[in-house]
Amino acid sequence: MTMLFCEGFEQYADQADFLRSIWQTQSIGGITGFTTGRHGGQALQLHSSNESVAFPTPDAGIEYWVGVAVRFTGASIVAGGIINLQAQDVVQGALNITAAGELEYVADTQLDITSGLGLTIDTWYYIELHVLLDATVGELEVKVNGATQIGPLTGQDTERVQGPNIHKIILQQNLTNQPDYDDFYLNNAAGLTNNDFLGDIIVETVFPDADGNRNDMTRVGGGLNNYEAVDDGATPDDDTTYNHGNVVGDDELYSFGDLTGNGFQIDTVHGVGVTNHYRQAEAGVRFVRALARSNVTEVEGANLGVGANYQYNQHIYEVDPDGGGAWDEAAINAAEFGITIEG
Amino acid sequence: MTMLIMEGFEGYGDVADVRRRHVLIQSGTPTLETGRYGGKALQMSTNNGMYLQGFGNPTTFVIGVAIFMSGTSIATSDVIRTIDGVTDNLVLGVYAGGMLNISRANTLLGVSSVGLRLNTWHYLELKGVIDDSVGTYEVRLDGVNILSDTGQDTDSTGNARINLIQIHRQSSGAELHDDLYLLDSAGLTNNDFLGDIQIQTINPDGDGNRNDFTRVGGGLNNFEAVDDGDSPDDDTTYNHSAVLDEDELYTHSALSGTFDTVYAVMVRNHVRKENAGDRSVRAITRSNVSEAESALDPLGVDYRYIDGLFETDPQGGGAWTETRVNAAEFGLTIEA
Repeated sequence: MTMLFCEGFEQYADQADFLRSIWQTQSIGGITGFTTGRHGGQALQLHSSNESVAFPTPDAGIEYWVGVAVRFTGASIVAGGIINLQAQDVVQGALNITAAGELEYVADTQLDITSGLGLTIDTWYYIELHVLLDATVGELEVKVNGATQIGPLTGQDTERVQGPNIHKIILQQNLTNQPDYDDFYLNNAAGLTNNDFLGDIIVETVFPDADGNRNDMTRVGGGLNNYEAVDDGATPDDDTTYNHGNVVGDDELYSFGDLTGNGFQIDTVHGVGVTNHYRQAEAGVRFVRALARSNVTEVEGANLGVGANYQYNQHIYEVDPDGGGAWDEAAINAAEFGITIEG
Repeated sequence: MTMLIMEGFEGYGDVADVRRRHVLIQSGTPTLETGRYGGKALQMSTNNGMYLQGFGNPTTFVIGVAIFMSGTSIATSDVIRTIDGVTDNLVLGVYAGGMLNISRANTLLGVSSVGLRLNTWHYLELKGVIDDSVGTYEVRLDGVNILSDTGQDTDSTGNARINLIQIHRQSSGAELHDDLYLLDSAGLTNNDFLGDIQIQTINPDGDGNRNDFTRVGGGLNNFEAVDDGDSPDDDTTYNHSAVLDEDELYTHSALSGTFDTVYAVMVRNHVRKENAGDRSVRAITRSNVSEAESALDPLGVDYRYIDGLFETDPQGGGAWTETRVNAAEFGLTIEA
């Protein structure tokens, strides 16, 4: 149970919508916006050197696998940071690209640099980074399109800042390469699955297409069925069409459109991330939990806080609630997902 | 009886008016903006700040405040500083990216894994026990515990207390603040997290059981001369008296919305004295036929806001209900 987050950037309309997610802009530049993604959908554009985004690690751990598709769209490759690992507000380590298109990893000092890799502009690369923080037995490995390009190194000082923690993952640091990012994942070392490199993955987003087993909430606008009032796809209309409930235990479940693999065969489903978009209408202690129903078995996520403004929150289901094994395409297509209210 | 401070910022006309109740750090210009659920909120930006003081010297405290950070990024800054004298004890801060951190003075104690989001109202609560070996802290964001520990040194001075709190320090972005409360751990009620609360302000709408003061301007009834709503008109319309034990009581508008719990009623009076000589006031609450008075507050020659907190209904001594609040009368009495 170690996939912490996955992100395809598919559902965001603009910067304001993106900032409702767990991602936060890291500098005054915000984000450029979104463009067509690697295999359709959307990709995140960070086209100014003062634009970067931060993902807060949910466990402030010492060992992570980060995967993300990157494309440089500038006129030429320019040196800068692609993935930056930070403790508090201080860099623990950085995966950089050089002006020659090589990758280097720098902690206190440069730990390694590729030779002959030669990344070029206008090409999608799937870059994965594994780091174990330690002052003496740190580990490091970098893969590009599934092939190891740095390491695997062991016995390294990967801990630039005293106190071995990573609190946030930064995408883009002083890059002038105008990068696009897509298909992000973050794993840690816990559990029995998703605790290693996943390889080149696609994060596909599917949206509600029908009401599910239970729809206890009251629909406001949005057609004849609750699923039609869900904010999905284009710009969320917030309080224009929505489903609401204030009763603890009220559930919403929806069926979803089938996976397509974005045109590719689906070999493995590493996890399902259920993202809900919600707010509370008045003060009071309420929580929500993501809800998944497979066959007749249901599993709820952890309590999530609810504020007065809309926000996106994701819960990862790494295994099929029905039987506890790995998800497959058919099980996902048949499953229902939604939300429940807690007090 | 452990609610120490409540603040919804609703009754203030402008920032100068806020300064009649709280000390605001003067650098920069705080402003009053639209609040979380309507009403008002206090916005502070670079080098602004607001102090909470006059709440004694609690060892254990809980503070809650709604906070909204706007702009295109969250800047590293302090959100809540708890202070003993001039020395920081627990300080709750935020890093760029939104994760919260807690420290004792400059010693980092913990970093949260989730944090604040831009352009979003969050309800943030901090509970602390100040001790040099068995101190504790717990931070809740929208009701969820996101950062906590026990057995910590949370005491920079060795006095096991706080007596000053600063809200907001050194952020380069604008932050709105609303619906603030402060508790200690004494008593049987309001001695632990309240969760996401709303502070609603209601204003006088009729004279009450006794109106002993003399009205100056302001219509036919004393309640019409009360400074409520927008900027106070001070000595233009007011009610006054120089006689000890003279009282003013008013009925007021009803609460609006749906309530699970009423944690307390705070009676805020806007007062000054006209001449030298010791004079004080107490807030009064009258519920059915039972009355209660708050602690004595001495007056100065300039207007300021004085709060009296009533955690229980004087009629029966139980928790307030919406109905009982709406039927009650509130005001003040003159003391030596």
